[in-house]
Amino acid sequence: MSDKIHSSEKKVISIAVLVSALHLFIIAAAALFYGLTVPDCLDGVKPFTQGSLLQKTNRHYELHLVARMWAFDPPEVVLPVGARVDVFVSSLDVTHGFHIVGTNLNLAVVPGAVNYGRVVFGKPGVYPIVCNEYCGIAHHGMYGFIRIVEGLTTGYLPSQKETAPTALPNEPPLVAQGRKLYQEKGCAACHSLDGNQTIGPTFKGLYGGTVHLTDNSSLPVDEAYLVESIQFPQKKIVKGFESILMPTLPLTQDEIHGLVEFIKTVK
Amino acid sequence: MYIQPSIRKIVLIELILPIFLLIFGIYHGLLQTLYRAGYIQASSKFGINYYQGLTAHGVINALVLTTFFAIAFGHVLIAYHLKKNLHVGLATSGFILLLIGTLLAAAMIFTGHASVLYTFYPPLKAHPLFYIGLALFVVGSWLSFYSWIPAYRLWRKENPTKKVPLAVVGIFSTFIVWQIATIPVAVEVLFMLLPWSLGWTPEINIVLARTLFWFFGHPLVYFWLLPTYVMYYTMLPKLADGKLFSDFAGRFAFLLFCVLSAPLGFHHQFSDPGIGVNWKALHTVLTSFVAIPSMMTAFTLAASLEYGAKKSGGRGLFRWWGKLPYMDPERWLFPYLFCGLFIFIFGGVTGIINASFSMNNVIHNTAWIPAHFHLTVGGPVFLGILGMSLYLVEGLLGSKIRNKRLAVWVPYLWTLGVCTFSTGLFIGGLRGEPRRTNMGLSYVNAESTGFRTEWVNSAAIGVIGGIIMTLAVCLFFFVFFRMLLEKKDSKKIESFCLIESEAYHDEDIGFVKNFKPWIIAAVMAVLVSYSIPLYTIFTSKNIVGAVPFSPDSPVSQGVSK
Repeated sequence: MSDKIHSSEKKVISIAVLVSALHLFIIAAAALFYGLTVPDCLDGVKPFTQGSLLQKTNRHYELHLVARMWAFDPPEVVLPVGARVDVFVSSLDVTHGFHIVGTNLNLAVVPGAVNYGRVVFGKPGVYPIVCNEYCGIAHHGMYGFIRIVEGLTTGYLPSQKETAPTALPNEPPLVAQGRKLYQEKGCAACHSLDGNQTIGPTFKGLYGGTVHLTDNSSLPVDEAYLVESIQFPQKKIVKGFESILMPTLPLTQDEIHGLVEFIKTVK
Repeated sequence: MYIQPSIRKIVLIELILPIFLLIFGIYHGLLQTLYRAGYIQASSKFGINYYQGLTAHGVINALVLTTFFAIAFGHVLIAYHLKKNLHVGLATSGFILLLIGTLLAAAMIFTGHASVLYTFYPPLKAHPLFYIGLALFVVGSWLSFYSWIPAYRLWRKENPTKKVPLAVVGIFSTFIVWQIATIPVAVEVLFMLLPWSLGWTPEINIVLARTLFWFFGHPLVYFWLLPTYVMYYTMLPKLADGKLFSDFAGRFAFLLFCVLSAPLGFHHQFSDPGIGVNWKALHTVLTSFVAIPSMMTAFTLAASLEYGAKKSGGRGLFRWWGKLPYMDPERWLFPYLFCGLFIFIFGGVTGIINASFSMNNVIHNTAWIPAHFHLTVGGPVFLGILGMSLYLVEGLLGSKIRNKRLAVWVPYLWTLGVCTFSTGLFIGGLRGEPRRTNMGLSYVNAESTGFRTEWVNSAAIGVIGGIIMTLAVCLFFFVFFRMLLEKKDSKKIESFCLIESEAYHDEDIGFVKNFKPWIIAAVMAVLVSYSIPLYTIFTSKNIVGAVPFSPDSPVSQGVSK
């Protein structure tokens, strides 16, 4: 029994305070002298809806990246070795994560606010962009790539080099509606128009072709199949696409009809 | 001990019900590891989706089990140490609200209407009943806490000069932390999420919602931890034949937690937009202060154990460690507390890494994070809850534990399992492996375009750990349920006692005797660290409102203006 704090206890508290202070000093030094810091509050930057890549100077780029359920726009970025990139991220729907694996750029993509970070790519290679915040049932399929290539003079977005869908001059109204729905309802996130097999089967040449299903059967793609697959996406799953299942979307019969007419035109 | 019959019933249900729910909680934990390693390559198993199971795992294990336990443990501590009656009306109504809240949330999760994980970040939207369940749960916990206050007041009146028993200081601190923490989350749920999920308000400010959530989220972890600290300070020394080295250290640590556990939530939001870097730095500084009471605790407990071991004939600078009752079936509770302390060394160190500002960029939202918190909430907290639930239910039922030898093995097996599991996730996390992700469908699937070879082995280590952890809990279930089925003897209830350690140094120090200055300091700390950032977020013209989304569809569930 005693009335005072034991001397060894005082020592322990002092050591704990000193160790913590030293630790904070190192963190502060890293921030002040090496620029190792965390995202700040951005002034006057409003959320954006389209991804883009801007070249500011020879090696300095600005990447505007949009996250949406369940893809990044742009999904792929090609840059030269040594590129210094100012990355701005914005979300179209829910909260996403944005981590360029192998770098220290790790941002929360929060809808309603733009986030920012800078990264320098010193070595060539493929850097995956991983969504590391849960964003819905296909979260695990949300990733992109940054390819750092030696000997490249200018960075570019591979997705913009391919032909984007353009409305035809005298397109039937139903097809035009389907084309609009294709963008609005998020089909574009998984079904490409250029033959690239991404998260879901490409629409290019889908109609009139044959699909191979997970139960090892094959089916000709006709209107009935397309309508059924939009209404009940889990009923007949195309082989190779069983990993991320398509959600059931609240669509009217007219809208489904429009989408089917549009898909028929993608050849 | 004397305990009011109605309180005894409430305590027993509050202890036993979560152990039954834990069957689902643990099952979904094991399944997570299998999905993540690609041993299950599917979006769902037996009708339960991966993310639905993950939600159940988090809500049951980290929210329901921990809260029910803290309340039941508190009821017993107050009744035992103050020897006063609890307010039955408040305790009963609190218990009913907790029960309804749990059932509503569980119903929504298991029917697939709330696959939003236990952080329920908007704009992912759950069924309104899920939010109502959460709100009832929180209010129920408040009422349960308030049932102790009349007992404390009466005791104080009768004993104006006595020191409040350390266990009571501990459990009151736990619920002061909880009271402060739950106000912001109640505001988030009641004024933001609920009206928005019902379609009454079209949009909410997500940065604000996240900030309110983490204002709650970090003190929540101390709410988990402090009941175990009560066991460490007031029971562990006695279990080791020793005395608590310093009574002051216990009081000081608990009161420091009251002040320091809340004003540091931004260390969960280092990667977030909308919060200034200087405020994040301030929260970093405050977070490193909160490590101090834990470092003090480590010293005091080691000193207490040393005292016990040396009394039992232990010698030397280190050899005395061999004299502790590691495998004594009559003191089966000792390893539950001791193993928790061991695990917490790693949990604490990795926690400091997470909270260290720019270091967070390396591991934010990677598998490193669940690896860390399985060594805190899944280490000392979980083992403390298992051990103390077994101890209290045996005593309050007048039952008998048949398999004490088996009970002794549970914490060691769990320690082996959780350390293996976390090793896998730490390695994966440092290599960029994301948390909360059904990796079997993409990153560890050789047929996927997202395949990452370097994440395959670390996820497999996680499975080995997960299997050992599941085995440990199955052993515990066997011991626990067998004890429930034993013949009950009401005489044993009367003679049942809590373990009480004496203090070796029982200091008489004024500034740890009164809660009031500490509560005022806690409120001040919260005001300093949160009022300006919250005001900025609330009034920011750069932040745009967000409409709700179902986790199942990329099409918005609301109407944008």
